[in-house]
Amino acid sequence: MKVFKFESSPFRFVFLSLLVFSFAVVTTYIIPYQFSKTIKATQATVTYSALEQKGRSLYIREGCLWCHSQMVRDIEANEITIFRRGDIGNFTDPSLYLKQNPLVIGQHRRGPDLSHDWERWPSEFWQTRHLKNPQDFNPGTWMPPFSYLPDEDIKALVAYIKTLK
Amino acid sequence: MQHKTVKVAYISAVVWIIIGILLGIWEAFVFAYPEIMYQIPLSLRGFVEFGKLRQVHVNILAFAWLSIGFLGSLFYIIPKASDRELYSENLGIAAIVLWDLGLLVGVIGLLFGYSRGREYASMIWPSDLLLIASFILININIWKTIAKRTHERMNVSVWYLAGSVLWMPLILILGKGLWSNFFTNPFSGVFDNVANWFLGHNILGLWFTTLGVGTAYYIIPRIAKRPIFNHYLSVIGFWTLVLFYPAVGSHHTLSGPLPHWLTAEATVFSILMIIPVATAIYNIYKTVGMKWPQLMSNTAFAFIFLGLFIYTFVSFQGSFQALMFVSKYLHFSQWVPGHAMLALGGGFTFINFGAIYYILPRIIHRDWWSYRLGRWHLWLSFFGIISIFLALTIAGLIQGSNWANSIAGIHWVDATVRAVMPEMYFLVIAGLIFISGQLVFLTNFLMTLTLGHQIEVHSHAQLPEAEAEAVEVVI
Repeated sequence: MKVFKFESSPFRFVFLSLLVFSFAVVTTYIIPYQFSKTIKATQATVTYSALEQKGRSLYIREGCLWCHSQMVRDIEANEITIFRRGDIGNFTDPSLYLKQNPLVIGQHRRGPDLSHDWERWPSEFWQTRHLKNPQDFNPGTWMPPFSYLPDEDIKALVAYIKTLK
Repeated sequence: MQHKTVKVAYISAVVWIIIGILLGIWEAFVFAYPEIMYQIPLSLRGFVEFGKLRQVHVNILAFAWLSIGFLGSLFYIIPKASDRELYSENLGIAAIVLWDLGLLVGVIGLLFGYSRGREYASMIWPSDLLLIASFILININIWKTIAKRTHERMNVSVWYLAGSVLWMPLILILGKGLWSNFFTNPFSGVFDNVANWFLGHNILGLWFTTLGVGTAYYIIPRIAKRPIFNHYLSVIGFWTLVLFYPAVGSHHTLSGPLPHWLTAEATVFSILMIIPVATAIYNIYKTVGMKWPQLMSNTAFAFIFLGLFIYTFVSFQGSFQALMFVSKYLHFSQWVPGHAMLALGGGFTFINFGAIYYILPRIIHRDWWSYRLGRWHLWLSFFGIISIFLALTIAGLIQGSNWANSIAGIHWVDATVRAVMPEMYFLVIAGLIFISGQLVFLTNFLMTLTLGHQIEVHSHAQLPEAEAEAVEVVI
């Protein structure tokens, strides 16, 4: 059995494994990091007021992002259905996310995509009541009732939802 | 005392898995009967709603049960493979306790809403601090032990295990951006997603996979009493894994706002992952050879063998769903949690259990209290996880096809929720099957610690040209 040099020298092994690992660090971490600095703000870029920012952190705190995505992919834009064919809306451009930290584009659609939420349900009354009691509008929905949140939190959440268009 | 670290690690891992699975069953129940939320008092509702508990469930099972359990096995395997005792038991116990504390702080933080809001990276900075401190202690302990080894050559399993503890702190620091800002998320814009999935997929690629395959590479030749089939395959499997796996993170954001070259790179490397997976699995299965039907009566072997089988399947499935046209259809649906549950709850959990079944008698010098409970545990876990996987996968296929409905359109509640209700009922039943297996295991584990009959385990019979010592099969 041939014994390779890295097998008998821990230093060689550590050096080699960090070297091989660094391929991915360079190509999928450092280069994208530099690339992301070239993205410029456009009209699509959203900036948040204090109230909207509060709503956004509530959106993360209450875990909304684990069921709602905020990303319309280019292959599905204006094609995937929420109510009617294609009403998922336009592709979400990289510049849209420029000021967002952290990103909440999500991995799941246990509820519908919210990238263009305010275009589909542009009503503060509807949004408030739906947050407090979603079964009123969508019987059987998985969404929990957020009626345990104080009113000012619900207001902040609705203010944040208004930026999703 | 010898091997105390391993014992502490196993006990805490077993406590965590029971908590984690109970939370998972609650979530499945919420899927099947969402109206239950209206019957919970307002003051409690914030602690039992899906969004928060989901993070707790994921973090407990990935970072507590799997990580601590595998660390326990690592603290047994590396000293054994080096033919030395562990450099310091106290450092080892300190590392495990720090890790437990880190998880406890992180998980309580998540319950109260302190979250980074990023998948697999949601725990906040105190927990990162404790985990990194733990990693420093583990690295000192492991490398000092390896430095004292008696044979010049390091075992295949040592490459995998020692490599994991070397890469994982770097992955945490890079993926959470701790190098730039330790206390909050440092990144804005799409790079946040890139960094998040650099971490998110590397904890699978260079942490759970390497720990699981490394453990299997140690235990399988010893139970089968044969040397590893082909040394070149070990070398190829290891280095291609390190080269290909870390680059696949962006396949979680296919055709999203990321640059196309990056997602294309992720897809290419996801397909290339077939090479390391097939190499390692072929190597291990050829090591066992035609003896596997007899060896299935050994519970430790059966767990690891089934775990590797699931790992193979789930890896090929992962390569498949990294293709653009598949992802278009299935991404965002329940198919994806099904895939993740099968990988972590099936593949690596099984390898972890197999390691516990193999190692525990050797460190406490007691045989398992009941062989039959072990068999019940094995098959309840297997049918439980396969049922969970089937329920979520079928649900995902239904959801994907409903969303792509191109004729009339369909209301999203009908498409997403009501259409998959039968699968969600099945999911609850599958979860109950799975937890009943774990409760059987808990009983067996506790009885073994206290009442298992004393045995002497023989070791150190040399195998021809293998670094392995053959051990009497005790179970």
